Amino acid sequence: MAEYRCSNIQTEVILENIFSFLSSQDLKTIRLVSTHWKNTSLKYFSQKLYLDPTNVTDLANISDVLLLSSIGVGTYHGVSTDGVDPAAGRTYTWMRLADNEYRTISDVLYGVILSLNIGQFVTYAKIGESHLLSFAKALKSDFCPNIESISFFPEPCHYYKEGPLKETKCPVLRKLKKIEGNLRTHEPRFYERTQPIIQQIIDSSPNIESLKVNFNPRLTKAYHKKVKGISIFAIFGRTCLKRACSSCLDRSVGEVRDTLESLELIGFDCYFPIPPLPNLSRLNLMRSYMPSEELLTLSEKFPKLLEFGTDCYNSYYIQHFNTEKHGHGRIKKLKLFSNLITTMCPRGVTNFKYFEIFSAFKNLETVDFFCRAARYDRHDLTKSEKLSDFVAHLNFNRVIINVWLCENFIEICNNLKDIDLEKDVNSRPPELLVFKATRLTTPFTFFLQPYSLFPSHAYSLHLHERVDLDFTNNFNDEEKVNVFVAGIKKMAQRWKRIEIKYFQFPQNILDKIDIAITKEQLPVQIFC
Amino acid sequence: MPFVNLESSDGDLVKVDVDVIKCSVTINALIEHLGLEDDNEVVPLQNVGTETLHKVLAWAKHHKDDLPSVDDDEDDPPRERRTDITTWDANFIKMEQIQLFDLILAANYLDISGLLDLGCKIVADMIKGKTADEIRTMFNIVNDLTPQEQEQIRKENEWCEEK
Repeated sequence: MAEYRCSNIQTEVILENIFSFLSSQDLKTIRLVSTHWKNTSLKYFSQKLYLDPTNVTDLANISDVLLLSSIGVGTYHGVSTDGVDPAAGRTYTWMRLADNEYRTISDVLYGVILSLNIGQFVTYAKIGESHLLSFAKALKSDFCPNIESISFFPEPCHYYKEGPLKETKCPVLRKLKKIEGNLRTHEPRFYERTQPIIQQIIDSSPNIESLKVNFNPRLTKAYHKKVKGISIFAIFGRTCLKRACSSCLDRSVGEVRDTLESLELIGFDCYFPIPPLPNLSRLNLMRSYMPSEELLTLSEKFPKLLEFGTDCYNSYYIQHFNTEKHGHGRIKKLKLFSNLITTMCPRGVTNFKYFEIFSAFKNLETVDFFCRAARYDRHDLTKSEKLSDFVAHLNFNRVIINVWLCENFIEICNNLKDIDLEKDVNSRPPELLVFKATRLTTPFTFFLQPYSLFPSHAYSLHLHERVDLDFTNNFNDEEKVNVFVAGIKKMAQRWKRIEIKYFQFPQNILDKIDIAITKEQLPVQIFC
Repeated sequence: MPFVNLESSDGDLVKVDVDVIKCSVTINALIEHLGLEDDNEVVPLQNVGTETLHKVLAWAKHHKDDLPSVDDDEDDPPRERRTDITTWDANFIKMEQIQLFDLILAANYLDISGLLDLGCKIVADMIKGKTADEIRTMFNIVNDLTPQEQEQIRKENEWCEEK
């Protein structure tokens, strides 16, 4: 029990609180305790200490996390090593800047990296929106000539104080292949500032292959004909959408029609005609409207289409099509997005109605299902035997589902690889508190059913939070304990391929479970 | 509704003045959500044992009239946290380590920031000046750092200066 307390007290929230009272010398000591303590202390470490480059005697061995945090970045959770070129022999990356950082940190970081002469090793940059301009300036001075991938993310507006970028020429970024930015489009002044900067970077990148941006990019240069993937966000309303797509899709999608393999239009609530794309294999229309006459010609315009993503609006029309005639029968992968407000769906096409519509797609191999429905949707799935049968045989690759719906859903699916349970989007804070218990309890009430239909082919059930039965169930009842233990034993064989994270048994349950079964047959991290 | 019944994880009921326990964000939310209007209704606290619950209530009763703490503005630069402890709190918090951990866990669960801070301050005091080995023993932590990683951390520590 003492161990239980020791382990629980080391949650991030409590440890961070403890560390906040420590001096810089003690913070140096606790970095040596364990990896968990080292990582958790980084936030306060970087608040109280900084890495002085002049002290550094052995640059090759310095941890990239420390380098980035100590110069003031302080985002212990945001540093990413994705995209680092291992051939470079070092692991320097750019950083994610948190909301509460110094405004000029990019300049500081720029200076430090320049002084350390490590810019050539930067291959991946993750930049806060407010530092976009600094970063663009850095790029223009050939700061990181080997950059391969850039990712932008949104930040609060009040940090964005920098002036416009001068129209100076950016050096050619030969290695840059990917730009990804989820910037805010709902604030016109930000849009107006960020869009030209990103466009300048695109114009300087002759080998760009993948773009994920919040505006309609101009791809009119001859060297842009290598672009294979475009994602355009326009999710904040019509005003920005009109701005984003003022020249239709001809100047972007139309210019790379021969090379484009993947197209995502997100939030296009009014339709801009998509030109025929002979090599398009992936079309994702998340919260984007497509008129029925366009949907009818999918197979003609996109003869290689194998993956299609859509939501309620388009699904409603698709149900009336002749699958073979209109070519939908060849689609192998579906991405289905729910509508947040089911009442807005046309004529009651609720989230599970999708499956009825797509039951005509005979060649489906996998389905990704992102269902954030309201709770009154929950009983739809079990109403129709035909529908249940169809769903039972679908291969669900990835499912994000509202916890209010998950029980019915899991019950029916035979082939489910990965499920994330989500909270109710409409929950107010007091509900969330109670909801938390519901979320944690739900999977276990399900396991306890006498004829549990938990999918035997599933191999990954990710529960986002540690499931602590002590917190959610009253296991003082001896009979209930016995039922639960029997359920665990019965299911152990079927759970062999399931990775369940953070499965926490109370001691009185663990005492009753055969340890051999637990260790050998339950691939589960067990806490007690 | 001046009183509320709290049920500990041991199944014991403790009647408490709502004014006393208003410092707990969790209990306030539960009361609000469950719509308790009757003195006989029970708020279950499945993570808090009876002994710990009494300690929490003793602390809450003493601090009943304290002004609510002002949250740090995230935009503000980080500053040193106050580490002074009142005599009453110092006497209150004198307990075995295991009880202290229980109290911190309860404060965290019940979302009582004042009590959580107090407990964490005490644990921080226990950590101060100790070696990494001593801290591991105190918290029953297994050292998962390789000798090379430890050497690197030591070097990095030397390169860092206080701001």
